Amino acid sequence: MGLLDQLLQFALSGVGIGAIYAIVGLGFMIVYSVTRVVNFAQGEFVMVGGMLTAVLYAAGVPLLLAMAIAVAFAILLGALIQRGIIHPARNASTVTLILLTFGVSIVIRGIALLVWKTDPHSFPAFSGEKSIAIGQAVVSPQAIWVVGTLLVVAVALFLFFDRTMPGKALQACAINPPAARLMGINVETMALVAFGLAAAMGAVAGIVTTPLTTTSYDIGIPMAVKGFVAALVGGLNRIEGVLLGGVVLGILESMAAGLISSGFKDAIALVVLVLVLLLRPGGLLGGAEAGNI
Amino acid sequence: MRTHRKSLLYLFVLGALLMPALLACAPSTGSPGSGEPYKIGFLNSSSGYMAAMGSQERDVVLMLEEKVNKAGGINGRPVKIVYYDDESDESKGVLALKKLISEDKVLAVTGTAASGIAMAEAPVAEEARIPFVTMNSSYSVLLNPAKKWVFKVASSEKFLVGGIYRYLKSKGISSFAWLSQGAGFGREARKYLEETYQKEGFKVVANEEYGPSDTDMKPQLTKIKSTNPQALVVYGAEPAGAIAIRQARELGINVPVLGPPSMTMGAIMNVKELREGMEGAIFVAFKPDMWQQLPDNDPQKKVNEEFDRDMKAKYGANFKGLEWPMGVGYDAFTILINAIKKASPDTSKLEDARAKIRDALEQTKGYIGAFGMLDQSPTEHEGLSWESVVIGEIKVGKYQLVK
Repeated sequence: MGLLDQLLQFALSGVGIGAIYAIVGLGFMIVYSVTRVVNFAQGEFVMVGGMLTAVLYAAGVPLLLAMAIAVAFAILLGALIQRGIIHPARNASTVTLILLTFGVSIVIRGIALLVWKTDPHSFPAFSGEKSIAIGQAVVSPQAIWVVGTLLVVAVALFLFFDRTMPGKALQACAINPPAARLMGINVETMALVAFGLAAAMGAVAGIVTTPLTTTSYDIGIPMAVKGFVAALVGGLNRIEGVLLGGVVLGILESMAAGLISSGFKDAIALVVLVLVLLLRPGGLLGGAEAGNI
Repeated sequence: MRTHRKSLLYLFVLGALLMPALLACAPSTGSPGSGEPYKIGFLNSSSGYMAAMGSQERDVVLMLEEKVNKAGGINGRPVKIVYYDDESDESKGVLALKKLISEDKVLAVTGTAASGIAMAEAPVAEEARIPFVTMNSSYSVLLNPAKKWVFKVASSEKFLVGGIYRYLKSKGISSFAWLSQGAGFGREARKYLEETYQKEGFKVVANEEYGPSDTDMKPQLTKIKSTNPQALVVYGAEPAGAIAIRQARELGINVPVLGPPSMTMGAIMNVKELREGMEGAIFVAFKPDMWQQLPDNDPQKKVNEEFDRDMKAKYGANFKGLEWPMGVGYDAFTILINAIKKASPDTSKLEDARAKIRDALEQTKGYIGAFGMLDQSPTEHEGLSWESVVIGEIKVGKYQLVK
């Protein structure tokens, strides 16, 4: 396998991984845009989505139904977090709110540990395991599902924001909350919607990636970190930015692991984070909040 | 005033009735003797990446504690386990050990499945002059400097990597690729590999690492594939290793895949997708996982049979079958109990008692356990015999004994 083939493999693996980071990142973006809160419990939605589906499926529930229940549960969880913790604390500083979400993530993780222990869980890939060859490189069908899901979600999100009233209302809250309020938009309800939406996306990310990586009670942390970096690289407020951020991060990780050493892989996300914050705080594509994080 | 006295009378009668009831509710511990209990410290990982192995070993030790106490304890005195969770973290493990030594003032310590953590804890035990029977594999826990107070029962690199060498030789394979976990256990094995492969006549065409929580090893495997190895060794202990094997197959690496026993733990084998991904892979193995497949004249079969029965009796449906880490827990705890029985120390003189237990441990000879057969001495604190090692293969989703 020549170097070019190896690079192709790294790139393909990177896109697959990056797509997951991007979906998680979109969740961060939605919540941040509407509420200015970086929700560190976002990773736990990913964990809950995958875990619940796996556990229900193992108990005999048909796969699609299990997925639906998992997503519904995640949305409920997101709503609970917003109403029960974020909303009552809404007058606290942003930093406090972020710390609160961090605390929430710890609680969710602790409960997951108690209920599901430390064992990994999984369920079958959607369309089998046989790898697809692209030149000398190999892609697993599930990875294609991941990328496909990302694209569907991204387009759906775009249409939602651009073409529907609730979507536009969310955008209004993101741009100017007082003005939105004056226009009759209930900003608090929008915050609830944002959390629910982000939770759904996190759960979907978890579901589509579990056949590839298995899931366990603690996968929320790395998911949150990588997803956040992806969102940050993309500017935290533009869909295409987050997609770009995720893919860039995924490819960089893959290249680092393949060309340098696997130890660098996790460091990459943090190096990218630092570089972006120092050099282009508004994200690679720039954005309305340049320097405003 | 009459009502006052009447209520007093009622209270008195109530109290008189309650007291026998209270006595009846007292925990029935058979007759463990009236001596002060022998306190044994136990450290392991109940959370974090080593939790699967750690919790298994904990279940075994708790079962044995109950069993020993039900049978009257050691020399008539009950055994008391004091347990701390190291959370799969070295500093937490060291802190917990220190607590056991100086605050809980235990007679001896056992536990710690994670090699990295055990290696951090060993010097602490050595300096505190307390016997520590570890459940980890890496041999270097006993070295640098050679430890007088630390013992181990699990197999070390000599058997794990050596077992892989033996198998490869028996198949005429002389060059292979190596992919190991980049932490304690995997690093120690890699060190052993680098020191011994040339002597053994092997060529290592690729030497890669992955992180214990990684989920994508395709980059490393891609590099490995380009070197055309005759076999692939995936040396790890977490789902990551199983995922690596599956991804190797996905990439089209079709040569024999070998691994250490840590890859066949229940937590991994019970996940259908992981198990299927490892179909056809070969592992250095130990008897607890496949004890039913052992020939009847294998002395370890009976031990495992009784062990299996006892675990089923205590844990019922939660017990999913014996696995080798449980065997390690069994052997570590058992030789410690045997040593305490032999030493019969005076617990009021703590330092003396600890030294006596240490001496008794060094006399563990001809021990036939669930995991291994041990012969220890002042110069050999592991003493596992090659007879304890077998080879297993995952065939049609089941773990089969091969040799």
